[in-house]
Amino acid sequence: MITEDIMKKLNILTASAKYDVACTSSGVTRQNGKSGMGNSIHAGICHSFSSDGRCISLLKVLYTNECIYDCKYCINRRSNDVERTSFTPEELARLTISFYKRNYIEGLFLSSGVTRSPDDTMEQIYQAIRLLRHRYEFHGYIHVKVIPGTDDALIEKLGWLADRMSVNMELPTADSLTSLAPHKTRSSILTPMRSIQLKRNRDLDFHGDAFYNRLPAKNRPLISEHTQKSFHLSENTLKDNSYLSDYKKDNSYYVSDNIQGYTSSSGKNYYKPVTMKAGEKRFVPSGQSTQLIIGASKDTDYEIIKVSEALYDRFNLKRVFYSAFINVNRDSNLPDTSNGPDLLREHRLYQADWLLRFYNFAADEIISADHPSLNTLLDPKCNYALNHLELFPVEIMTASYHTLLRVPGIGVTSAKRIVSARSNLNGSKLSFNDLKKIGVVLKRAVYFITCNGKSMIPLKITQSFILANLLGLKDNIPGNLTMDQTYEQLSLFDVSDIVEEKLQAGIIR
Amino acid sequence: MKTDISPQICPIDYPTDKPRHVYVCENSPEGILSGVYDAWVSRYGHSHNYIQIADNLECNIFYEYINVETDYDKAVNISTAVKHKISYNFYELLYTCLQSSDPDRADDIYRLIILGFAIGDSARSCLAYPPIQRIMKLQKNVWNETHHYMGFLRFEELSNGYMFARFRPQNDICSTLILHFADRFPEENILIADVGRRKIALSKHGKTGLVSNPDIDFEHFDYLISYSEKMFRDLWKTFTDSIAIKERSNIKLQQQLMPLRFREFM
Ligand code: SF4
Repeated sequence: MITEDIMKKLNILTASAKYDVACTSSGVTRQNGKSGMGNSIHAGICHSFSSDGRCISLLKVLYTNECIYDCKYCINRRSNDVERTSFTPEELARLTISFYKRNYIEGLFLSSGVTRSPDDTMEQIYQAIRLLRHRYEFHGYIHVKVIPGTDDALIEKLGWLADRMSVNMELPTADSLTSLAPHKTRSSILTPMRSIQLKRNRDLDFHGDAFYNRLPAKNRPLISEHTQKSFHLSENTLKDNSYLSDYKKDNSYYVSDNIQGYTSSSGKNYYKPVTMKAGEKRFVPSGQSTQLIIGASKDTDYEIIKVSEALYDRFNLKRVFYSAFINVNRDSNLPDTSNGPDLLREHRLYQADWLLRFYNFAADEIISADHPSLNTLLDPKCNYALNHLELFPVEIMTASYHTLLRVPGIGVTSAKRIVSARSNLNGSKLSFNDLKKIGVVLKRAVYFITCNGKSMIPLKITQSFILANLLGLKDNIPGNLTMDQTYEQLSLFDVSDIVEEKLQAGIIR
Repeated sequence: MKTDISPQICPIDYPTDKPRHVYVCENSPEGILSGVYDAWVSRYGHSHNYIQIADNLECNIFYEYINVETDYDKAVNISTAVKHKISYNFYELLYTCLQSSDPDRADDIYRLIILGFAIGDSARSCLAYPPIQRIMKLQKNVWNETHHYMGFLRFEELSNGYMFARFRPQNDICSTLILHFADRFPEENILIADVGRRKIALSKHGKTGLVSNPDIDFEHFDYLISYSEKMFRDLWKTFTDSIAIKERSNIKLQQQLMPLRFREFM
């Protein structure tokens, strides 16, 4: 069955699919029945790592690399002279099965160029997925990319077979979309996205599960007044669609302000990954994601983060992926990337995205229209804290869960542990040593907390003092990224040494 | 955090009023549980007992050493008592720790079981007690390795249609892995071979089992691997080569995420 021909197709169709970043297989647990092949595990499984350090867990290929569109950033655009080929549904199904059976992959990630029309292509993809699911009884993970402009009926059919669907947003503003992807429009992207959302909500509702991944703005307990007003989309961030404002959210699904953050007021679980019994059918159980290209257009980080926030809040997206632009076509009208893609910017955006999703930050707290770029020197949470010193220090023994979450060096797990430890103290008190055991990263947190009224740093704290020390931390920029700007180590002395010393000497407890 | 554990049942410093009894057991789950059984019924006092695995044993002239005969019935006795009298979760924790390859695990497991029978299931959360801290580390280590191999294990088809995988794990995890793969491939016949321990876990028509035989000749399997396998390996290589983005190349990160010890059979 496998011939030279398949080898060649696989080569071409993989090479042209590789720029799509999403490669997670997580978010759904599906048990196998007694027949067929495959199951899914919500934590996801990595099967290999490619030489660029990214996890390989899915067979990520294009169905075809033929395309009638001409997106400037894409290697498959019709104006490029590249070798074109397509899989047949049978070939694709067999390839997936034989890889899966050898435990090379967790499932399939199918994307495609556009042949003839979006509907025509999606119909072929549907046939391939149907063959895989029904004839080959494949129960592994399937992620299908939806072409902008795909008809509602096709989405309905596909959604019952796929675990995840995604429509690529590509660019954050309508203007850059028009100039770089002339055949796509805001509404051709957002219409299928909305359609998937509504159909999925209907399914979740039927099963009594919660819709949203994130607290809505008005339910977000924030520590500062000024952060509460921030939740509206400026007109130009997402123009040309009426969808983003008219959708009414049902508040009964939201979480009340309790520490677990996992139980809604109606007692339903929130964030809970869908678990499917053998043979059960759910609509896109692992949710919807999308991708934004970073650095192909002039769009700012501010616009990007505002769009992501809107996508999370109004379209219930599970993930937004960011992909640093690589000028594969050497197109002189697009930014030059011969010095490598801007991975540091991408990294900071992922950190900001993390704050949106897990820390209940509003976009406007992370970044503002006046300073529309993320600080590359510092991670966004430290940056936030430094610019809001008036809100700190926070008292560990009394601060609310959500307040704790705002402290650099305190993550979701350690904030939860602090709250639960406080309620089990029976009169005794937490010490800095306990905080360390709980997992608080003291070298970041020291500037922003007091514990039983005591601070670890008895100096008068100024913004520049903290900045100097935070910049000196080794893990400030991940080891695999390098900085263009070399910055002077401003630090007069290393505070983390002092912290360590004092802990050991038992001076601060 | 709970700290109020009676020092009688769970010593941290061993008392010296009478010589310590060291139970020396075989390096296997059954061996350790037999040791726990013997120490328990000795009535010498938990705080004066210690359990150690026979491999690289260093003797101390002040201690008395007692050899433990591995006895399957004793081991089952302990494990069923744990399952029924403490809790199923506790039993799972015990099971996971027994899979560990840590040379000092035996005594920690003994302490875990003593504490479990003394205060019940909540023994699992006594994180202030050093043996439980170590137990939690063992558990995490075993889980991590199991999770890694769920992804990194590679199957090859044998000429008789069986799917065959080899690996050399640090912990004794092939019995957990076979359950995962038996659910994943209910229609396949699967063999997972732990080359280091000379053990094979198998699944056939949804039934799983374990064979342990020091004489298994793993080289022999090379001749049984079907001809088409090379082609699939090549196909996979084609895929992994063309999926990498050369502009983002980062070999160091790749090695960090997928350490070489996992790649022996990949
Ligand atoms: S639609 Fe655009 S991005 Fe997609 S394959 Fe065609 S040219 Fe590339």
